[in-house]
Amino acid sequence: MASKARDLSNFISTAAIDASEIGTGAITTDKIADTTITHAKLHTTMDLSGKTVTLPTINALDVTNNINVGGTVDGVDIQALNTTAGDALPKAGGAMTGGITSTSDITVGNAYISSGYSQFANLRVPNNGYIGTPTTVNALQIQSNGNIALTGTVTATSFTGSGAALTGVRDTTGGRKNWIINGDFQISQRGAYSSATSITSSSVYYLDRFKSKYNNISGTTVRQTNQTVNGKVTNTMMLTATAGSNGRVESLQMIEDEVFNGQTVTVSAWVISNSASARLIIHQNGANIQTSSNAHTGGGAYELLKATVTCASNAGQLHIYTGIQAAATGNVSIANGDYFKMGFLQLELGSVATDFEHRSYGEELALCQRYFYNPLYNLGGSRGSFNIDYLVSSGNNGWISFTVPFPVSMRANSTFSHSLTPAKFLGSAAPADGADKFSFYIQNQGYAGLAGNGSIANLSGGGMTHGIVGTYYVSPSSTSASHIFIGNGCTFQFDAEL
Amino acid sequence: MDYENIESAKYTFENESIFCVIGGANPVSVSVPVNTGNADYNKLMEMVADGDLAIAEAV
Repeated sequence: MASKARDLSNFISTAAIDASEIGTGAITTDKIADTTITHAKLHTTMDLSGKTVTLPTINALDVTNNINVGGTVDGVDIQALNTTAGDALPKAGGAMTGGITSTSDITVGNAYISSGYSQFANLRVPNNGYIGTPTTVNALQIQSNGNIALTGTVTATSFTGSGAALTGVRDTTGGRKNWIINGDFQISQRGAYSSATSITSSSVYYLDRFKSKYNNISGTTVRQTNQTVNGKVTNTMMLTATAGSNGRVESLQMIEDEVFNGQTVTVSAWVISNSASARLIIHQNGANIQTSSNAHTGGGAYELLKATVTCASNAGQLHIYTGIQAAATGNVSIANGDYFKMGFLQLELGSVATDFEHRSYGEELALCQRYFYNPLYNLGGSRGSFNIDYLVSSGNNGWISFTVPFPVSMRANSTFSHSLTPAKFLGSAAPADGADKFSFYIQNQGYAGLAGNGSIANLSGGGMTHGIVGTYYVSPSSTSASHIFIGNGCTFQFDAEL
Repeated sequence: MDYENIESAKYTFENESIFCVIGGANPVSVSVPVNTGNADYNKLMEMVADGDLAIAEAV
């Protein structure tokens, strides 16, 4: 029987060929690759069911038209896959115009939303979905009501919006936050204290609103201007021990308002000291509880001292102690020359020591004048001038009285102090700058004498909204007088301190 | 007010004020209102209670 084997190199058939009649290796890839075998010469379909098609490892499938896949494409690196608009996945660096739907995690290196494009885009998460690290902390939650819940810290260069609905912000940013008056030591109506001034073992007011004392030692206080504290220029108050022992030097400001029950408050100041017992203390006068700040290191440089306490329900008035002292305001080991100097003293609501609230000189002066008023302080001239009522008698029963207007109502009915005595009377001149003298003046006419067998030292009075002072058996010697001039070197003041 | 240097104290103005003469380095005359809102008055009353001060009656 003759073999069916034949050379098919020139074979042309228009009918179907039974593949069983084609021997192994009869059709070579060289022939299939022949460019003369076009699509038109092949059958429109080729059933390769159950067959294995082995393709080259390089450029295995090079198709210029679509590939329709009814099933799954698996195990494919799609980074070079390009899609047309509306398709799901772009090649690397391409644009995706469709969406991604996945029930599993999608891991990406960096995700950009409309980066480099002008159109808006949205990142949507499900209601109450999280953005964060799933296995550790979900930093951001977008809640179903539109709220955002953060578990971390928001750091930003600015925020916009009215902030009308914000809550809990006052503690750190609100205005008029400093309950300390004269916390930058601008006001000193009782004296300049520009050089070291001896203090006593009794608490005495020196700078406005601060009274100071020592215990079991001796000490001085001084107010210094133009001091650089924490990079800012301000005034400071300094206490210095001038003897060593177990003792303390301290200043105290009592806060008039009693609104701190149950409130959290923080006191802070920049302090320079050579003592490791320099500190600030919040004393709750009603509850008798003391809270100390961190102690200064004693290193001789400015350090921020601060203390925070949630006050008791019966805290009452707060007293702020500053100086070299024990944590509960008692004595400590203190050496001659130990000093405490502070700037920017502040007491505020909340648990954060925020930047110092600066108030203008006028504001601070008015606040201080509620507690103490010196009509001769910084008055821009050598004397205070007051219109007098008087009665001149031929005998010795004349009298004078005059009104001293107060710039603000004082806290309470005030104590009136003065240094006037008959020996300080000037008969024919106005007191010079700095003089502890006084005189009577007649408008456009000159000066009057002093009459009566009484003493101007008995001048007395006081007031709350204004001061009225006067005395008996003392009057101008003339039958008329309009003014009393009081030199700015005199003591002449009204005190309603706590 | 320098309580440690009070030289004399007396009621004045129909007992509405206490007039004090203060000595020491800075002698002054002081009128203290009889009012518990005034801290000086409270201190003077404390000194009286402790026997450290006598206030003369008004004349």
